[in-house]
Formats: sequence, C-alpha cells, structure tokens
Amino acid sequence: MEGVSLRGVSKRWRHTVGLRDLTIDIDPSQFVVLYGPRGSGKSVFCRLLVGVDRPSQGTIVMNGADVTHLAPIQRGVAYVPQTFALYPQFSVYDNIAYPLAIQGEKKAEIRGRVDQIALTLGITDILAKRPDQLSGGQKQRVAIAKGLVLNRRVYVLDDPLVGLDYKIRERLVEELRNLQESLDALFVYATSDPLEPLLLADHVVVLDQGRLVDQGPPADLYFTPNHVRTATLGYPAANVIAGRINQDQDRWRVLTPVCDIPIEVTAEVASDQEVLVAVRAEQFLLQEGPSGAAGSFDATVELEEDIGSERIVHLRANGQDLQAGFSDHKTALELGQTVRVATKTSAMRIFDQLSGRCVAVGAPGIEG
Amino acid sequence: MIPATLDPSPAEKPPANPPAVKGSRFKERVKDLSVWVIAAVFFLPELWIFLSAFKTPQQILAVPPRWIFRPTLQGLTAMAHEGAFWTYVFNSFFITFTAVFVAVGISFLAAYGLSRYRFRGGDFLMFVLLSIRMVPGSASVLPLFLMYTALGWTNTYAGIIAFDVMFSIPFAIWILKGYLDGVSPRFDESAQVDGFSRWRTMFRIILPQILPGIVAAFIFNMIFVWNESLFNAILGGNTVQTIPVALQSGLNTINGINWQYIASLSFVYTVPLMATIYFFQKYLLVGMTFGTVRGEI
Repeated sequence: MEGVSLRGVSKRWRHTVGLRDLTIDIDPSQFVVLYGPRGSGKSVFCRLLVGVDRPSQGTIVMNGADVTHLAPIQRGVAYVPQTFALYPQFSVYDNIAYPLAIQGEKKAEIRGRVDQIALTLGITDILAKRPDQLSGGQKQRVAIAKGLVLNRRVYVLDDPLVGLDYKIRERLVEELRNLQESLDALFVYATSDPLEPLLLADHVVVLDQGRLVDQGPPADLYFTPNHVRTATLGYPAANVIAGRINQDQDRWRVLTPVCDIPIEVTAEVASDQEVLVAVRAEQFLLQEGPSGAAGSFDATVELEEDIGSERIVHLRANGQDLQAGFSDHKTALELGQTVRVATKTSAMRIFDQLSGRCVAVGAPGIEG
Repeated sequence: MIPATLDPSPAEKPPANPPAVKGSRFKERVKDLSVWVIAAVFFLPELWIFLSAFKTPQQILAVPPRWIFRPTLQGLTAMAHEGAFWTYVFNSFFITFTAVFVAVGISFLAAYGLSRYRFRGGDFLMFVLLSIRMVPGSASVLPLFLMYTALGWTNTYAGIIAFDVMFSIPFAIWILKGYLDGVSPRFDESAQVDGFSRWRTMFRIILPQILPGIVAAFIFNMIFVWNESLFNAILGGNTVQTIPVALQSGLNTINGINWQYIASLSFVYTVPLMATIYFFQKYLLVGMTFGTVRGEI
C-alpha cells in the first residue's frame, strides 16, 4: 500500500508518555496537518515518522515496507525539525547543499536545486553567510530550505512557521501548498496554530495528550468537530460553554448558564452528565423582537473588534464570556448595551467533559 | 558546563565606560599601574630566571640582583654543546606531544560516548574517572614502578607515553564532555537525517563545534605532561629523561648548584609552553554555536 501507516504506535519514556496506541493510515500525495496544543504528541509523531526516535510499541509502514527499525536515511523522509540545528561551521549554501552532496548529486545539479529553493524562501542573498550571522527568521527559513531541497516522497515539517512574522508566514503557507502540489508528495505538517490547518490541509489529524482524537477534511472538522479539541480550530475559536445534560421524559436538553439547548443524543449519556457545548462565533445572531425561543438569551456588549470581513463582538451573558462574529456592519452596538442573541442550535456540538468526545448535537430551535 | 578557563584577553573586552568626572582619568591610570605592580611581584621569580639565562654565573649570584647588565649567550651555548641537552629537549617534545595527542583523541571518543549515550551509572563513571587524578603521585609511583618492571616497560618511550596518556585522559574527558553536552543532540539528529555516518557526524559536525574544548584539553594536559617529573624520573630511568628531570638532577651536582645551567634550561623549557599557550589562547574564547539551534542556546 502506498502512503504511511502507523499501527498501534506508542512512545513512552520513564516518566512521560508521548503517544498512546496510535493507529492511522495516511494516503500519499496529500497535505496532512497534525494539529494539537503543546505536548499533544505532534513532535513525537514527527520524530517517529522520520526515524530519529523509535516507537516503544507498534509498527510504522511506509509504501508497504515496515520501516520501524530503519535509520532515517533509509526511510527517505525529508525533515524540518522543530528545534532545528544548522551546522555553524558551514555557510548557508553548504548547509542546504551538504545532504545533496552526500547523496552523490552532481555539483551543477546541486547548485540549481539550492538556488531554486533559496529563491522560493527568499534567502538568496544570505547563501554566503554563516548561520550565526542570520536573524531568527532567516535561520528558520534556511532550516525549511534544508528540508525541502531533498527529493523525497515524504516530507515531515514540525511547526516550521512558528514565530515567523505575519507576512512571511502568509507567503510561506502559499509556497508550501504549491510545493506540495508540484512535488505531488506527502507532506506531514505539525502545528499548534488554529488557522494553519484550515489554510494548508487536505486532511487534518487532531492530537490531544498523545491520542488521536479526530481527523478529516478541514471543512468537516470546522463545522462538525468530533472532539472538543477540534473546536479550537479557526479564528476566533469556537466558544466552549460548560453545561449539564437534562432529561425530561424523552426530550433531552443541555442546561447552561447562558441558555437551555435542545439536543439530539448521538452517544450514551446520562442525566446530569457534565458536558461542554461548542458554538462557533458566527452561529450567534442578533435578534430583534420577541424572545423565548430555544437558544436565545440576553448579553451585554463588552468589546468590539472590527477585522474588516466581520465584526467580532465580545459578549457577556450570565457570567460567561462569548465571542460572536457578525458579518453585517449595519447594526450599531454600544459598549455596555444589552442585546438579544439567538443561536443556531442545530449547529452546536456537545462533548463529554471528561473524554472530550462528541456525545450529542443541537436540535433545531429557531433558525436564522 | 562550559568552563571559562583562561582569562579573556583584554582586547576582547568591551572598553570601559569613559570616566564622567575630570581628573578620574588619573585615578584610572594609578589603578592600572598598581595592578601591574602587584602582578609584577608574582612574576618576579620568572623574570629573575629569564634574565639569569643571559647572565654570567657571577652576575646571577650578585647581591643585590643586577637588573641592568650586558646579556651573554654563554650559558645557552654551553648547554647547547652538551650532548644530553638535545636528548632532553627531544624527549620532552616527543613525549608531551605524542601523549597529549593520543590522550585528547581517545578522550574525544570517550567523551562523545558519555555525552550521547546516557546509561545508568554514567555520572558515577565520570567521578571514578577523575578519582584516578585524586591519588597522590607519591602513593602510586611505587606500585606503578613494580608493574612497569614486571612488564619490562621501564626506560621506554612507550612506557612513559602510556603513563602520561593514562594520567591525561580523565581530565580531558571531563573538559570535553562539558563542551559536548553543550552541543545540542539536534545536530546529531540533523546529521543522521542528512545521511551522515556516525564517524562523519562526530568529526565533521560535532568536532568543529568543540574546538575550544579540544584546545583547552590540549593545553591543560600539555602543561601537566610537560611538567611531569616524578614518574618520569622513576619510570623513565636514564634513557628517557625529560627536561624537568634534568633540572632536578642539575640541582645536585658535585660542585654545588649550577645556577647558570638551571636558568638556561628553565628558559628553554618554559618558552615553548608559553608560546603554545599564547598562540592557542584565542581559540579558547571562541564559541560559534550560539543561537544556531532553535529554542536552545
């Protein structure tokens, strides 16, 4: 089978666990983004894939071959590590060219490839410098160039854009996307940035505490997250409200400090079970007229940010901070003003507080 | 741990802030001068020996000491014509450089292993290593002599060099491991991914980054081996004598102490060591890895 498979892979050290029993099949020739907070196991995943660490348990299969115990160079994986190390005694050019030279590429070929990747990353003018003469961002781009210059079937990039300034990030995101398409290779890209998965990925894998908790195309994950961690994708992140399940005969509801929400249960739940409700900012609507419908509530306006395409309004309802996104700019809002807000309850997702898994979805209330 | 070993040379330090108050410039001068005066007291014996190398025996013993005199090469030429002198010089150079070179080479491999492969008891092993140097020489010289005699190693270059290597390794490993621990293992990983062999990683990637450590290990062990006289005198016998041993025997001649000989020999003995250290000093201060690993220093 083409692509990469992990079968029951765990990584443990004496006192910590990096990955817990992870099984996944990754198709070739796509852009896969590993998403999760710090310590969720993204880097461990990358390092196991590259081969700089070996799993404590399980097997790693690449293009049909078991590579679990192969050295990195035998796996044919290009790698941009999170804590990269540029060789200080070599020039930038040699840093990028050295791996190619070891493979026995011809000098002219190396020159061409290095120049090409340097152009893409905007580091042509620093090729003659030494790493200690570079700024942090330049070093980072050299490290990316060093990984991408190799012709491989699999590229592993461990949070390569973190800390770079906004403009370079924006450009590199586009370049990486193009590069993946033109190379037609598998990119595995780890990030804790909530926007990068949506911008880059064909397929997003969400990790939490060393477990795979959710995966799928970015649009699916954005609108129908299967885990509370997935709800942090995008900007602003989904509002997460703590609540409690309530059963009234055969009607299920979630009671929250903000409002009561009718739900359709999709997994086994019990009355009084503690849950988290995720609501996307754009699922709030300003409501005029009578109230009382399911999912509507009063809130005060705390802060308003206009980011051009939409307005993000910070609301406070019964002690709960919420962020709402309104695409219309017509209705004027004043700070401290009380507004009536309705929600598309059918778009809500309800997660078990302990496991984080989706246990119910919102039932239709009023629809805007 | 990166040992700050020799003092940084004054040229490398940022210039002191210009004095704000008028007249404090004079104070600064006085301070500078007094530092040199105090330092001079400590360097006086060395200066006395150096000057004596260019004096006649009468001038050497003159009281009060004569600071201004017409220098003569009499002592140095007399010494150069003595056949044994060149043997001492050769022995000192040959034994020192061979022993230190071999010791630093072995220590680099050992320190790399100790730094990169963590194992239970590794720290204890490091301590045990250094404990070799904690045993006083006078306590170990006799057992060693007996061993050497049994093995037939006395009076041989190989025997003396083997001893100096053995005695240099612990300290060299300590110095080098400190430097190697300062080189992030990310470099090893990077090299591994780039397809370097382990040897190539060690010598092409890691070694250039710890050159200051190599120089430090080299200098400290050179000072030690160059000055080592007790074991050399007893294990080396007559044939493999180095300069310090010759100096000791020069003290006990029938006609009293030959000060001119001692001064000349001391001069010739000290200069190569000082020259080497002076030349290599700047390498001790160079650190070039700073900031090339993200998230680490």
